[in-house]
Amino acid sequence: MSGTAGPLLTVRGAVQTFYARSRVRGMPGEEIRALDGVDLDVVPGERLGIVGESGSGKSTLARAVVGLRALDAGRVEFEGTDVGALHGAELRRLRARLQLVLQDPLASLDPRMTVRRLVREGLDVHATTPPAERAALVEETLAQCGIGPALLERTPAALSGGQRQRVALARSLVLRPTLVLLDEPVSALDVSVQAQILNLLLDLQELHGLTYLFIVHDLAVARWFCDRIVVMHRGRIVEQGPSEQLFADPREPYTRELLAASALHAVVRRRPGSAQAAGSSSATASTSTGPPNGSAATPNAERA
Amino acid sequence: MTRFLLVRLGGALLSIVAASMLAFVLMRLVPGDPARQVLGQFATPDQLAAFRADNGLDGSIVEQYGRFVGNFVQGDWGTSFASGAPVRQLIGQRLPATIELVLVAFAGAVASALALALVSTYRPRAWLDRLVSGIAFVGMGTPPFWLGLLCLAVFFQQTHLLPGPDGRISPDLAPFPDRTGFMTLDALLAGRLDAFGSAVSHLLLPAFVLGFAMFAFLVRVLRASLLEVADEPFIAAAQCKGLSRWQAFTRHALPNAALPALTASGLVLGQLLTGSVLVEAVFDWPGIGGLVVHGIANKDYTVVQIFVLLSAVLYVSVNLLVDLLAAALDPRISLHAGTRRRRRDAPRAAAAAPPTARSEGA
Amino acid sequence: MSEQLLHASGVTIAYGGVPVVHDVTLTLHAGERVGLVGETGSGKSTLAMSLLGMLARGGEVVAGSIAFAGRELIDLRERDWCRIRGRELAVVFQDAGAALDPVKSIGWQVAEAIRVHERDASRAHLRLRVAAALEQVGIPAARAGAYPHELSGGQRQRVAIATALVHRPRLVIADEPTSALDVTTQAQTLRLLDDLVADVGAALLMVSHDLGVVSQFCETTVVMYAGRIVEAGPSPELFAQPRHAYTSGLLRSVAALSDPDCRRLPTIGEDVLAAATADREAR
Repeated sequence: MSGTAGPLLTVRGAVQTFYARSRVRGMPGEEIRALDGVDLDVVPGERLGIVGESGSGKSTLARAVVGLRALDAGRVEFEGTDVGALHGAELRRLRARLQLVLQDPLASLDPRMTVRRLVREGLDVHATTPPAERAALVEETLAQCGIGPALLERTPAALSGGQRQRVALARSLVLRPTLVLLDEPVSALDVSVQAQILNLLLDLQELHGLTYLFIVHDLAVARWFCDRIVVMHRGRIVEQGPSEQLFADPREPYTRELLAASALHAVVRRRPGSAQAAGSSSATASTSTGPPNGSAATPNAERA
Repeated sequence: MTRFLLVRLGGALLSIVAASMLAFVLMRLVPGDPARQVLGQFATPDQLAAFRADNGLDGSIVEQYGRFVGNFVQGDWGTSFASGAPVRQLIGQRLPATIELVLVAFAGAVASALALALVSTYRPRAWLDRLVSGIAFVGMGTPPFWLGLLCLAVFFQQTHLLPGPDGRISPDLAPFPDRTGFMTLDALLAGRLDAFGSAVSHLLLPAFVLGFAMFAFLVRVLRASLLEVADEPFIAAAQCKGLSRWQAFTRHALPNAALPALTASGLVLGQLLTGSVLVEAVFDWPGIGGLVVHGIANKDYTVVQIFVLLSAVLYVSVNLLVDLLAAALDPRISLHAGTRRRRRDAPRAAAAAPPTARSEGA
Repeated sequence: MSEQLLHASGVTIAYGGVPVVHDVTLTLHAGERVGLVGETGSGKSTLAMSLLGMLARGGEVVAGSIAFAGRELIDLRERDWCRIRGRELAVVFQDAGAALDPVKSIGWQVAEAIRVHERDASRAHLRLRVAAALEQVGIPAARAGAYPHELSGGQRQRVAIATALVHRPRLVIADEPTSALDVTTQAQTLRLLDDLVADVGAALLMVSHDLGVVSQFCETTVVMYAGRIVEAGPSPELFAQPRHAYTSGLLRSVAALSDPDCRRLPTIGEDVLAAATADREAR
């Protein structure tokens, strides 16, 4: 793990207000408070999860941390440096160490570039690695992310969802960052592929000594993957703590509400319509007119 | 709402003033002397000077412009050098003819564009797509006066199907009272079906020529808009309610597609009025277009200035009107400044999900 | 055993000649709640849409038959489809915001659903029906004049549910009905759907990628992969003791997330996927 003593990333009093685009000329759009005073610390080597629903401000926070959009108020410090004060070449150098991976790889990968070019691009821009070594570094990083040489010349459209996300990861990792922000990296993926990517993320963390800031709305994933969890709601942090503790003993009502609602996704091995429906106290009084034994839904017959 | 209106009206006023200034200055920069035009080659310098003094053509451009604006707001729109008649009267006499022509052209263009766009997007077929694109392409690239001459050659000269460039109505018919200024309406009001028929047949070619370019443009905009909307889930959802595809198309796709086209047609309507100039020249249509063409040729400053000013006013008003109309028709547009999203009166607190913002809200 | 409502046999669906659903046989009974589970590309949505005759452009059922309440649905004329859709067959789409016309009020849209099949309904009658339908899903009748963008995502989905049930259909198809919603709204919406569907006595075909939701709301589960049915049966048994390795693989992935001792998530091996594709049962 990295040797810095204090937190790797510090956010203090982050405020961000948006104005939705107005449809009519001459009129300002409506005001949206995306971040309403957020304080956050990220410890080196940890996997910090940010959990919240849509509109909670988690994606806005991610973009502000990476410096994609200046905060209206507040301060972001990375490795002791004020991100907001940096410009031009210095900001670019910081970007190499602070990477962002987004949810939809189809949208975040240039559809006309090959995998090789996509991953190489960052190296060429930052020019910290000698040109002769770049090609090898690209291939090595891709291999670490599970993308073999056969796929190097393909474009994103020719890849599966999981493969695209691996390419997006490789693109970030090739710059050897210290902190990687992941904004819903597995939400658009199927359960089986999600498992692969999450395993990969763990491996990569160990291999490269990374720290993760993991934004997710799926609580089960957050619980498994993250050491510590921060719960956001309407631009504010509602509760934070070690993940197992948070799940075992949530203190805030909103956290409890989230947990109760997420019981919806737990696989239940008893008859549906009986007392234990989706985390609510009401027993469904539905008259189950379905057949009590043996469904008539016939599995696909053996058609040789 | 007031803020919106103030901003737009302010901008409108600026545009109008700028346009009038431009017209004023340009006319005087173009070579040619109205005094000489009117008085002839053999006029003496004294006569020319007198003419200029009488018509306010002496003094600097700034003085002249000042005088012009002053007179205009008082209702004095000047006097035509060529005919001696007050400009206001001239325009008043000839405006209805142009309006009739423009309205018919506009209506025809919109109706045919709607029909063609609808038919070609409802059941997309490659050959139909190419046909419509071809028509649009030709329509937008064809100069109206050329098209006018072509139509006259084909429909009048060669085949005698339609009347030639002899104005709004056949000169042999007995006259009837002029009540609205619209030949077709007046004929109907007077109960004269023969006159009505003649008026309509005289309108056909000029309206077609004038409207063709607009039709071409509208077809493209409507088609693009319809194609985009046709794939939206709410069209399929409407069908799943039991509506036929045609019903879903006309009741749901069309209104949604028409809104962006509305703004476009507003722009084009403004252009129609100014574009009628050439068409009126070709068909000898007694509208203000013809008046302006002569005015430019004869260096009749006063007429041209007023025409430009009026065109600017019209163009700007139509645009404002279209924006207001769009706001009235589209429930998503609100003209009230800086509204904060109202809290939803959800029955259960938990159901108050955060508003779906169009911004980068998480 | 309650009557057979829908029987699809040997259904193969292709898009531009490429098959996406292979030889599927499926039966639904009146009032039964069936979950159609699968990952992306499994063909579940395509199959569901074919039951409505709403395949996207280029798609067609190239083989098999779909019998619904006694009549054959394949090659049905549009006019007949219009009579069934909304009345005996209804849909709740994934994203209700996109499934509502943005320039018409929700009251108007619910009324349209009623009017399509009750052409002589008077204005007053429609208004009453609309009010009742909205109240049933927890939206005050006074909001009938609201436009879709003025409502929250959860409210919009409830409008969609109200619209679907307005003629008390025999079968409701719900295509990922809560994926577009926030977690706190999902539970309520599903419960509402469940209650109302049971109230009407309709059968429910819920297409979902979420095993938890299906296990809690559907008494029968059908698992699909690559256009084929891999396994089907009563939910309690299927989830307690899946017969196909693909199903158990999926269940293991979901279960592992709640296991604090699990250091690496289990994944589904290539051999299992191959077996699912080749339509052989593996252990």
